[in-house]
Amino acid sequence: MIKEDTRADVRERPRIGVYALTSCYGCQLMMATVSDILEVANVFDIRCFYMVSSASTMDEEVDIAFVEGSVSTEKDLKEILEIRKNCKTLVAMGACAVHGGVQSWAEGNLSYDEIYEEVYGDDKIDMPGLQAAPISQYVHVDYSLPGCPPEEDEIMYFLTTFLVGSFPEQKDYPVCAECRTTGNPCILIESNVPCLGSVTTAGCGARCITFNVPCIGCRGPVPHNTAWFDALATVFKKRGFTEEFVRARLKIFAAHNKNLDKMLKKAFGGDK
Amino acid sequence: MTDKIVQSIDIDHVARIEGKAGIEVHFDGADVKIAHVNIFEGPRFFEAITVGRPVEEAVAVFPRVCSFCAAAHKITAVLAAENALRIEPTEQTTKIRELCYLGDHIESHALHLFFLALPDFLGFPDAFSMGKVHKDLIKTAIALKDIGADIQTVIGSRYIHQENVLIGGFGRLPSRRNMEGLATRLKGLFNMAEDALEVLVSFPNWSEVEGERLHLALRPVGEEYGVFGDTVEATDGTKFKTHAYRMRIQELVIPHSFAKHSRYQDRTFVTGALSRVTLFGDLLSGRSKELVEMYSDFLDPNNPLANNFAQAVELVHWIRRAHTIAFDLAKSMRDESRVEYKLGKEQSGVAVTEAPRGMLAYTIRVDSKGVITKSDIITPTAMFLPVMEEDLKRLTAALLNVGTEKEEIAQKLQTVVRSYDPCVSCSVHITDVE
Ligand code: SF4
Ligand code: SF4
Ligand code: SF4
Repeated sequence: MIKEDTRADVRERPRIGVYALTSCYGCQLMMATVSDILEVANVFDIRCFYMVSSASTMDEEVDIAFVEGSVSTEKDLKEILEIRKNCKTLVAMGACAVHGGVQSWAEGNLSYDEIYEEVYGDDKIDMPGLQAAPISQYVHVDYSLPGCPPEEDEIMYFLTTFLVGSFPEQKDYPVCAECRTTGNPCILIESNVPCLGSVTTAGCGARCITFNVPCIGCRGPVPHNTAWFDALATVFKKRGFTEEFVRARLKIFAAHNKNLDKMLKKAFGGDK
Repeated sequence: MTDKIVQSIDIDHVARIEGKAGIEVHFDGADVKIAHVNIFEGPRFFEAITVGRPVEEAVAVFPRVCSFCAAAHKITAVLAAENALRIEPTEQTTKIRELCYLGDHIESHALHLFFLALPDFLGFPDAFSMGKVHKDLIKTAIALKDIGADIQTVIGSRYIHQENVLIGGFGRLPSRRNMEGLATRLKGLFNMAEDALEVLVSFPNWSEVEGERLHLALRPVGEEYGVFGDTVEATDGTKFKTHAYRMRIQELVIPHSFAKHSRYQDRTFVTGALSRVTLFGDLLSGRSKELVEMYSDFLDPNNPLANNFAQAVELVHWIRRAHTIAFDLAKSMRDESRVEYKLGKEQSGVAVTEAPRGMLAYTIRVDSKGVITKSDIITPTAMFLPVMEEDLKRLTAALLNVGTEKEEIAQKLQTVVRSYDPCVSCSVHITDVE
């Protein structure tokens, strides 16, 4: 089933695997459709990428594993443990893997059983499900590639650093910074819309704001202990957005983030 | 002496489809006992987690059901929300949305045909190795995928999870120049759009998998082959208004999957490109109409493999239709602000559209504070899964009868599953059980 590649350099090419847990397949689709994909397929030895290749297996060792999706079933859990065992470097790819994704939105509000009942009623399904969680809840994650989905240039940056034997650095500043370099007017201030850019990790070039659409935080909260967030976060309160409203909105993509409350306190507490 | 041992074919993970599914077939001699498509994709409970949240946030979350048809989910959810809020989009908004939606169809069909389906027919494990031998084919694949993706990016902000498709309209409208650029590129792709068909005409459908089936599709508005409509028609001559879909389409919970199975008047049914061409192929025009007439043998409504062919025909049509819309918008686009809504009493809204894989239905109920109190989604994959299982059963039996090896049967079963272009992530997003 595995393609036999007899070229001499095949051993030197870093082996990568792309795996999916519970997800929308968007991160993988992004990776499969980067404009240099044919080049990527040449310089890496892709051992597992079920979405695009039937020459894929789960139980092979790879140098770098890119994992998409949250742990939402017992099967996901078994697989992530196996992937961790089989890889040297593990990258959590996308909001689902990094933060638990939109499927974690109800985290802390509803239990798995309550959510299950809303959707399936009393009927039973053979497969055991779990409350959706980021993969870091179960295994060590070496690098996180944020975004829902991640940006093409960032995927390429990660791949390139691995190719040259280096490692990717994470962005630690908020989307507001990119708004300024792009020259966008601040829509939180000018149009009074609940833009989450001040507390969201940059890297998308302030994509939504350039379309005059408020950031909903798909790249996840700015990492703790670094920039934290932009001073604009204190504007929420002045503009009449309550702490509860902003918390619920932040939870779309950051339900499992431990610093959420600290962050909100800082944004809402200090402003009289 | 008869062989009493029940044998099985187990495929853990069908490659080259969207999502995680396996195939499990049990047979005794040539008597096939069970043919299951096991859905391993975990549930993401979109209908439960959006309850209690502002409708604006919920419509931002819905496209995350599935990346291959993110625009389909976004646009359908927005239409259902607008229906619940009792507002109508402007004519221009509808036109831009249709173009965005066609971008999704073009991207999705191109990915499915060239990256997922064709490698089977040409004998490769994936498009990368196929591309080493068939260089032109992979060039076409990328050009078509790119134009589909770029249409969605120009209009929706990106091609997976478009944020610039909003209730009432758009945050920012694309410019006339944008539209002109798209129109020019689309025109340049008219010929390439036929490349998938050209490959497929060398591969007749397998008769072993043939079996009668009921097709459902949305009658397009304006009598022009398209994605929007308000009446569903079936090949048995019946029809119903989309607002009644929850009455007409029943959903069952099945132990071997997080995806529910659908029934129409107690019958299993299919939906998708083949259903659209079967029911409304006469509304195609120009080149695609010519092609449908030329190759009608390949479009057998009772053969699931014909769905590949139907998608390839649609690709030809969508590229031309997208060109017409973009060309028109390049001249007519004018500045327009979003239609505003007033919150009133609690009401439900419904929308059904034709997504790349078939009918997609949304019901959204919004209360007087703009908060969701109920949502219901039925996806095409959930609709056609039961028929897919019947096909696998029929095919296995036919192949066992002529002594085909298990290995080969397993390959063929996967090819049939792929021809449906199932979207497993979609299928597990599930409606509620009352
Ligand atoms: S992070 Fe977003 S794009 Fe990636 S799998 Fe999850 S929902 Fe899809
Ligand atoms: S709050 Fe939003 S609009 Fe304002 S600068 Fe930050 S990202 Fe830009
Ligand atoms: S602006 Fe916010 S929501 Fe939009 S892409 Fe960037 S991080 Fe995601």
